[in-house]
Amino acid sequence: MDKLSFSNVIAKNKEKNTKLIGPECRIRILSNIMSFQLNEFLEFTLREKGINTEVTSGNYDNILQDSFECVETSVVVVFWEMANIIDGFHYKACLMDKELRVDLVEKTKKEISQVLNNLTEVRQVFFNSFSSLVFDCYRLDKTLLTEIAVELNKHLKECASSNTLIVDIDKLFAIVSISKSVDFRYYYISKLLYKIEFYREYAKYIVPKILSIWGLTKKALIFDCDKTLWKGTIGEDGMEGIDMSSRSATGVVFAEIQHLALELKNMGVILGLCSKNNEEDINRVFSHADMKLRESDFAFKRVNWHNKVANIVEMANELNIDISSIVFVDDSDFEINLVKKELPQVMTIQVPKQLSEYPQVLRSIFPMFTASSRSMEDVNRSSMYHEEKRRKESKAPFNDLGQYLSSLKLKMKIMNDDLTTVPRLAQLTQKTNQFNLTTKRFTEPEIERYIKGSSEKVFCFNLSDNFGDYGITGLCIIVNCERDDLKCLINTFLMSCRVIGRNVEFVFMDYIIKHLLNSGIKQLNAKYVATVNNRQVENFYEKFGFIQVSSDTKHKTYELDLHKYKWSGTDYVEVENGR
Amino acid sequence: MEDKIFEIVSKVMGIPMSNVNIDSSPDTIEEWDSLKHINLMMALEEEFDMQFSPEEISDMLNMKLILLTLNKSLQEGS
Repeated sequence: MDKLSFSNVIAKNKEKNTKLIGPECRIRILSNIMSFQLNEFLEFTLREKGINTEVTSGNYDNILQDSFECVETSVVVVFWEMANIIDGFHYKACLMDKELRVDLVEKTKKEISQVLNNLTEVRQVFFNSFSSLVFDCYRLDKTLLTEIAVELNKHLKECASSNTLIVDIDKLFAIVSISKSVDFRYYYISKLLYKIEFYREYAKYIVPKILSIWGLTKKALIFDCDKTLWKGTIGEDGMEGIDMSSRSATGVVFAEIQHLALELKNMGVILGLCSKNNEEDINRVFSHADMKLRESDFAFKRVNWHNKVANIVEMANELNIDISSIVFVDDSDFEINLVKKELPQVMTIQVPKQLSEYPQVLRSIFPMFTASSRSMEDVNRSSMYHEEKRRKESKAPFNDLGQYLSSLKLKMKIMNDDLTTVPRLAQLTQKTNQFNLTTKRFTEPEIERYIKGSSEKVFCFNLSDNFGDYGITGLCIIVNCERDDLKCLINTFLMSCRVIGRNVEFVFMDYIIKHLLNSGIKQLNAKYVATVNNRQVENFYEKFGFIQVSSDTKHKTYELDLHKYKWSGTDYVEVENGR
Repeated sequence: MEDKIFEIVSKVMGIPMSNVNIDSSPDTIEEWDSLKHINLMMALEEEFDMQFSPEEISDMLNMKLILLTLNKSLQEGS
């Protein structure tokens, strides 16, 4: 099948969105890296199958915080990358103080428990295994990074309940190759680890499982006969001329195909035959010594000279299965194209010109059949075991988000009119799009003017925790501080997405208000200017007791009597005065 | 090639072709945010089978610069 280019996937995805109805499949991607390309591929692949899908992303590096809010979600996909457990973990881990590293791994394990606990009500969770492969694939010895991945995966497996499928990400690397999966250029620019080729395959990899939940599993596999189940043409070559012997170089492929077909049948897949032949010829083949498949293995047969499309429709009716649950295998261009054209719902497989590739092609579609046909008993048994184990173990490590956040031991250093921060602050105004109330962009000289100005105040903060430093990640510029009416204005309030989800904005605002009160300011005015990216802060000022005084489609203006400010009472962030 | 690039921009941004021209940039196309910009870069790299430098990725913020960079890379490549 021809691959659609990324831009075409985006365009077609948008087109399909308007056409679908039916139960909505809401998918949320929780990730500690940027992964928004997956949204397009996942949405497109599922919409193409007629599922009314919407894929959204949680905030960057907010897996735990977001997992508290996935109740209405059908499917959650978790990308939890070792490389970003803390910034640069893949290269820092080795030289890290051992005690600190152990603490970090323990902390991560607790977070995993919490996330899985929060997601138990979600229908299906895909949780990627932790992998060090990208970083130590050249190493002969077992690396520390591998050991950590093994430990995290063991914990993940223990905590996962029956709704969670651990996606072995190393298999994806094997399918796509590491060099086509990972692109560090984009990782260094904006924390995008994976390339579009990886996401294309990732979507393909997990989609069969989602389809099976939506009742769209393939149920029947229909084979042509000549050159599809054996080499040669029975009508012309006769019994001696056809070949499906595991001892012959050309027959072996067909021996393998027959074994695979039987394996599928044993898993509950219905096998069918659809061949243009004389029926007695085909019946004779079943007595051939090298035939692995028996006549009784096929639930239905259509050996005649009729149109194959008509035959397939008849078989679907006879078995009372949906036409879209059929996979049809044939060697002929003509037959494949005819079925594709007349019955586009049927999945078609053409026997590859390179016969040696044929078994692998068949293996690649196994998930279309098997994703849900694993015996329900197996599923129940393993889930009962896990539920039991989970009951025995202590429950979620944290009662709520507040308790989790307080475990982080966050430290905030707040700086006031500090000239050394100018380059970073200018950069923050240039780059911050999501958590940015006014999205004003400033150059370094402009920031410098604000800092030096007597009627402007520039506050910023540096955030850190036990495991590292997030750097200067928050900025607030207040103007008009020297007016006679004692009313000043928030010109800029922003936070880097690196520190979203930790409630530090409340601590920052508490500090600023205290400072303004001490300077005798009476009223603080503020503005929200809407952009495509900053919807998440559209009701930001309401949380602090600001009163909205006017609004239009893109702007909201607020006033706050400083004595009516709602103190957040957030007590788990240690605040330190910079200068 | 210009038309090809306009088409990719229109598809990635999700806007009609008629809204894209030689003067387009994040200032004229509201949808052109930082995430869509990365999608655009990846789509162009895929389409023309090339890799931009990190500097080029951050700088190609209008249609003229995109055309210039692509032309340069294509000439170097051939």
